[in-house]
Parts: sequence; C-alpha cells; structure tokens
Amino acid sequence: MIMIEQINNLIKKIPVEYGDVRIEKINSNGISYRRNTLENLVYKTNFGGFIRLYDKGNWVVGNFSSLDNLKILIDWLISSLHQMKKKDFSLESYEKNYFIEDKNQRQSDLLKIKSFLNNNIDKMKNHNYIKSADFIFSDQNIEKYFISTEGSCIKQQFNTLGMSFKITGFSNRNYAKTTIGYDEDQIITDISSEIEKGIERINKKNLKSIKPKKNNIVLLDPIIAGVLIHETIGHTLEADSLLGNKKLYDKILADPFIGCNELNIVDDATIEGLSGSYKYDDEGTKAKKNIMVKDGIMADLLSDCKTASILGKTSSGNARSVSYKYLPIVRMSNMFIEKGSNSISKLLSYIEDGYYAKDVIYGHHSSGKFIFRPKEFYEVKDGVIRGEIIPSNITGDMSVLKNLKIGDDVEINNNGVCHKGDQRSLPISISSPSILLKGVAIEN
Amino acid sequence: MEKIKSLKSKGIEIEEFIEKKESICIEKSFLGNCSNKLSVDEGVAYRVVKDGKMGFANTNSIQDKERIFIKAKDLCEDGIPLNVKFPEDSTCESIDKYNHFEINDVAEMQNYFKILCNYFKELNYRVKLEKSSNFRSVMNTRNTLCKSHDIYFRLTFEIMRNEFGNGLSMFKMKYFKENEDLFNIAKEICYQVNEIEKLKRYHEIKASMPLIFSPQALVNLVLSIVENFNAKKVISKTSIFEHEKFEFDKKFELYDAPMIKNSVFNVMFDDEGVRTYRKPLIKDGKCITHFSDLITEAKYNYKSTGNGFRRNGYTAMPTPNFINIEIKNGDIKLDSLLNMNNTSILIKHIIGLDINSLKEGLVTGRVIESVLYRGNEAIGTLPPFSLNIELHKFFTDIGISKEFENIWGFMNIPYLYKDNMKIYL
Repeated sequence: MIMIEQINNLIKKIPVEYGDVRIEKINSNGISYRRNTLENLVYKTNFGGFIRLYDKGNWVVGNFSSLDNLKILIDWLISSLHQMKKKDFSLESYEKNYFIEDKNQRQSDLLKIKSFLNNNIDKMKNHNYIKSADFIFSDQNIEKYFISTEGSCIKQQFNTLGMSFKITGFSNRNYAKTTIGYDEDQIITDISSEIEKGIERINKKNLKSIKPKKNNIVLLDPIIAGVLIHETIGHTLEADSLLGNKKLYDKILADPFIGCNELNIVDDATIEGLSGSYKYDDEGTKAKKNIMVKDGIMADLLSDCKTASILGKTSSGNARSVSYKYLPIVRMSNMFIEKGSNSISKLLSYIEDGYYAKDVIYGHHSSGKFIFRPKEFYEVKDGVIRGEIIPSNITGDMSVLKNLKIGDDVEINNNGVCHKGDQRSLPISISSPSILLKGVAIEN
Repeated sequence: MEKIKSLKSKGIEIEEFIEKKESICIEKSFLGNCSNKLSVDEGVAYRVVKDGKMGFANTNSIQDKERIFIKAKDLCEDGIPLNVKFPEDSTCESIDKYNHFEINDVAEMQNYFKILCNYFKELNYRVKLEKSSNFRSVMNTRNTLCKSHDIYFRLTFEIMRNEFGNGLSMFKMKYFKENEDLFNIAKEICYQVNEIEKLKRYHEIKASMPLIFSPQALVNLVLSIVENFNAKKVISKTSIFEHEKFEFDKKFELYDAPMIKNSVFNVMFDDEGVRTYRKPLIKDGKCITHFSDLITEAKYNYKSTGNGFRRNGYTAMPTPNFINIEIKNGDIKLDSLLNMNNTSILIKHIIGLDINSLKEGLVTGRVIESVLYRGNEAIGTLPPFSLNIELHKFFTDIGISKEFENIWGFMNIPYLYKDNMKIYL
C-alpha cells in the first residue's frame, strides 16, 4: 500500500489531462534441463512499470524498472509532451475502479520438482530410442497494480505454475507439451501422463505420408478446433485488427455471417482459475463476458478504451499486455465456443474419405487464409478412424467456416499462449467442441 | 570491486553482472500516427560457484541485489553441476561514470524526427527512430572488472508493399553512432526511392538468371551459417554441419571480430569478462574455429573464445554467441560484377528464409525487393518472386564485391554474385 500511495502522489502532481501507471512485481523460481542435463536453477525478482500520459491530443508512454527511474521518466515524458503540437483528438473515457486483492504468495518446492524431473530423466534413459529430453519448470507470483489520475487503484495477484517438456528420439521425431496450473501436485500428475504418452508416441514407426490434396473433409478434435477458431475468427474480431483493415471490416459489416448458424463464441475473463482470467484489464477496465459470435453472426468486437471510443462504445475490458514493457493492446482472454448438436459418431459418419486431426503443433491465419499442423493425424474411411499418418498442413480460407459442423463434446485447453505483433506468449484458454471442416487442402 | 570481495567467503567464487538500458523511440505509422516511447531498465545477475556447483539469480531492482546474491548462493547447494572458472585479473573500463539520458536528449530526438519526416513527406512510409544507451559491467572475485557504455541510433524505414505498383516494397534498417549520419542516411533513402520510381515496372521474369545478392539480402543466409559455429551446438551434434556436407568457396572468408568498421556493437570483453578477439570461422573453404563461453569450457573443456553473451540481458545466463560478423570483401567492383552479363538481377531484400525448414539442404525465400540490370544500368523493378536456395552449396562458385555494407550494426557484408539460380514467380 505504501507503493500505491507513492505512485498516487507522483502522478497527481503531473500537469496532464490523464495519466496511468501499471506496475508488475514478479517473484519466480525456475528449473530447466536441456538434453538430459540440469542447465538452469534460477530465482528471479522483477519490478517494472509502464506509464501513459495524455495531454492536448497527444499520448506519450514509457517503461521503467524502479520508482527512481519513474521520476526521471516523468520529466522526460513531460518534456516530450511540451514539444508536441496540440491535436484535436478528445480523450476516450476510462473507468474509475477500486479493487485490492491480498492473497498469500505460494512458493513451490523446487527440490521436489527437481527430484521429479531427475526421476523422469532416468526413466528416459531406459528407452534406447530416446535421444534426449528437455524440461522447463517455472513458478511465478505476480502482483499487478494499476493507478490512474481518474482515481483508479487496482491490485491483482496471479500465481501460475508452468511445466513444459520435449522428448526427442533418435529418429528425430519429438513430442512436446506444456501444462499450466495453480497446484504443484496437479501439474506433476498432468505432466506425468503426458510424458508417458510422449515416450510411447515417439517410438511409433513407419507412419505413411500422404500426397497433397485439395477439397478434403477433416474432423478436428477440440484442441486444434479451438486454436483454429481463435486464430481465424477470434483475432479478426479484435477491434484493432479490424479497424486497421478497412476492406475486411466493410466486408464483414456487409456480410456479418462468419460461421455456420450453430456457431456461438464468447470471450470471458471473469471465469476464475483459467489461464486468461483477470478481474480488471491493463487499462483498469472491469472484465466482462463478451459475446463475439451469435448464431454464426458477428455480435461484437473485443476492444480497449481507444478502439471502443472509435466504435462509439465502451471498452470490452480486453486491453492486455504481455509485460510491463509493452502498451496494452486488444487481446482475447478465455474463449468459449459453445457445443453443437452433432455427436462425434455423427460427425465421423459425414466422412467417406477424409482425416481426423488431434492436438496442434502450430496454427496461423493471415489475410483470410489459415494454415494448421496437427500433432496427430489419422485417415478416416467410411466414418471409421483408420491408421495414423504423418501430419500434414491443413490450409483453407475463412469461407470454409460457414460450413462447419459442430460436435456436442467440449474440452478446455488451459495451456494456451497467444502471439500478436511483438507481444508473444500471453496466457489464454480456449474451450471448444470438435469441429468438422469441409473444403480444406492438405499440404506437405 | 571491494564490495564484491567482501561478499566472498571461503570456497566460493562470485560474478556480478549489471546492465542499464535506456531508449528514446519515436515512430510514425503508415496511418500517420506518431508515438513516443521512452524506456529505462536495469538489472543485476549473480552467478555463485561453490564445490563445483553453480547458483544463478537476478533482479531488476538493483537496490535488492544483496538479497539476490544470497539467493544465488543458496541455490548453489542443489545447483547446476558446473565448475565455471571466472576469468582472473581481467580489467577493461571504457567509462568512469554512467550518465542517464537527459531531457535535452528527448527534445533533440523530437527535432531530428521532425526533420526526418520532412525528408519523406511525399511518401507513404513508416519510420522509427531510436536512440539507445547500453551500459554493462562484469565483476568477479578473481579481480576482474570490465565496464562499457555504448550509445547508438537505429533508423527503421519502410515503404508499404504495392507502393511501387508491382508488389515491391522497400525496407531499411540502419544503425549509426553520430547524429549527423541520420540525415545522410535519409538523403540516401530518398535518392534510392526516386531512382526506383524512375524505373520501368516489369511483371514477368525469366526462370533462371545471374543474380547478385545485396548485403541486406544475404543477412539471414549468413546468420543461418554463423549460428552453427556455436561450440555448444557442435559438441552436442545439433549444428547443421552435422547433417549436411557444406562446401565453401576458397574466396569466402568469414570472421567473428570484436572491432569491425562501422559497427555499433564493438566490444573489448564479453559478458563474462573474457577478452574478445578476432577469429576466422571459415577460411580456405574450411570451418576453422567455433565460439564458446565459460560454461562450454567448464562442461566440455572447450576453452572460452570470449563469446559468452547474454542476448536476453541480465535475466539469462550467457550462452555462446557471435560478436560482429565480417565477410572478407573481394577485389571486384560491384559495377564489374553487374557487367559480367548482359542482364542480371540485383536482389535487395528476401523474407521468409526459415532455416528450420531446411530440407535436404534447401531453403525457400521470397524476394520482395529486386532490380533488373542491363550491364551495370538499372532498367526495371521486378515483382516478388521465390528462390530455392541450396544452402550447403550457396557459398560456392561465387563472385565477391569490393564494396561492403554494415548491416544491423554488427555485420559487414559485401555483394555476392551467383550464376543461374532458379526463380519462381
């Protein structure tokens, strides 16, 4: 609370129309193993902040790593503002909120994790087809503060544990997985089953490859289906992306049907315990449940204060930044794709000659085209999943999303991270059913 | 120095790394919006070695450094089995006192930016001007104290794709030390834009032609090669040289050097306090040296070459990294290289070269800036096209120009001539 008072006193004295300061305090522990060897055992503390000042139509921003630096930075920023010409922009509206969270910080038992990882490294050595294993564990306690000249004062706490691993075989096949959670034992249980799966999977031999083919039908499991919708529809409905692409915006306004009529998508940061959850965003706006797509039609865009003001609305509470060094921009939080009416067996029955894709290695969407690569890929003949094949890229354009068929199952992927511009690896979650895609190409 | 010695107790060795970074950045977007971002960052990292085990801790609160030192010392107990030997009696101080940027620096940058935008006012462009100050110090309990402070500018300029009418774009990123260089660079960019605008726009291209790669176009190909001289990669057999047999022309000489002309990153010591020195990576068509750090030395008995750098700053331990890269320039003038054929293409910028997608030695790139020459006369711009590059043979049968350019502040690269490569529109 002393720090909040100090910052309040500092920014109150700044002669500007509006200003806000975001601060992050992070304590973290980490262990990493690379190629079966302990490579890093580290303790880190980080303190840093971001300040934004607005006056006479101009914004200036800066980041700092101590309160002493903040004082220097404020002088620079004021000088910078004085040099700028007055502009006829009006300031968007910012909420005034007060919220102070005060939880105990959790400290994970690094020795327990180290011993768990050592045991797994030993286990790998029993399999002569495994070349090496990499593990990364991190435990972060984050305190986030937001203080504004409008009178907002917010303190939120986030505790996250993350563990990822990659097993590489002598065949150069590999298996990687990340698990994010809040409980040490849970993480150990989750990752243990994934390690078992990885050990088994990289020993799969003689998978056949398939030739590139146009116009395919592919059933996506909830993980890859969720990433597909996140990358294609999700990012398109972020207000900064759409406002920056007038052609696409006009096209969507003229034809707001962006999915099949069973498609309903919501972004909701208020659900507790998920990777993308928060109570207030990085502009101090209270988090909300936002309907993005209703019955296949675009319902609303996700926004921050600036883009909301351009759209004549209030912010949807989706201004997020990956760290104190960056400006908040419009980002998704927890995306929920509502389940549909089709059982998995019904979805499979639509496939005479096609594919089944499970989990995802990477996915990307640009200028209306998408490309995804599943982790596991199977042939489907006459509605029955047959043998596993070498994964190929699945590519297509946004129009195929109008002919989706949606499954009646739902799975939450709480281990997601999202990249946008130079802000990479922002925690998000995606809840999705399985989805049947028609008219996509298979490429090597 | 005395302070770090006072932390020392029996049987432990300590290294303290401090970093302070400041930057002033002004940017104008394609939409015409201007943004000003200022940043001040600092941090300290400790490595403590006891009984052949190492602990590592870091913070960006320098006031908190004693607590962080104790954390690093505690982590030693169950630490990383690494008996790193910090360098002894290494001293190199290029500064007495660290000074922050001042308000005048901010005002000066804003003035420069206004003048810069005036140069480009007829164009649809994005431009970013940054002034950065980097301070680092390495100190250890074996009498090493090295400090350096560098200030440099970076100008990024981009003209949107299609601005020239056939999908061609222009991208420039220049690093420099002196204020005056800014306007020379701006004038040069304007000149180049004007020259390109005068040229005819070609929409078709022959499938195979002699190519000349500009220094900018060669950057990613050179980096793809250089990164594999990391001793750690070589020892762990993950270097690309493990899987592909690479051939290099006898004329092709590649060096890693602490001091090269026009570099803004010249350094006398690495982030572990080890003296840097010039070393050939490729000479006489052969790979000569690899670069290593103190961890590689401790693990594999491969003596440090003064290449231990913290590319992610104080938050991570040093890893083997190159310093400055220099390809020895040749003795043929660029004009003569162009005159070797009736028609040739000067490739100025390639994107999408992904070394990770290297399949049987093949990488594919997209050329987004190129000019067609008749003899040494530029006659037209070309639409974007793809190139398949056989990386393991790329640096054979080449011509190397006398002229070279500094790219990204740390690489001196000449122009390179290659005969008859396949082009895909």
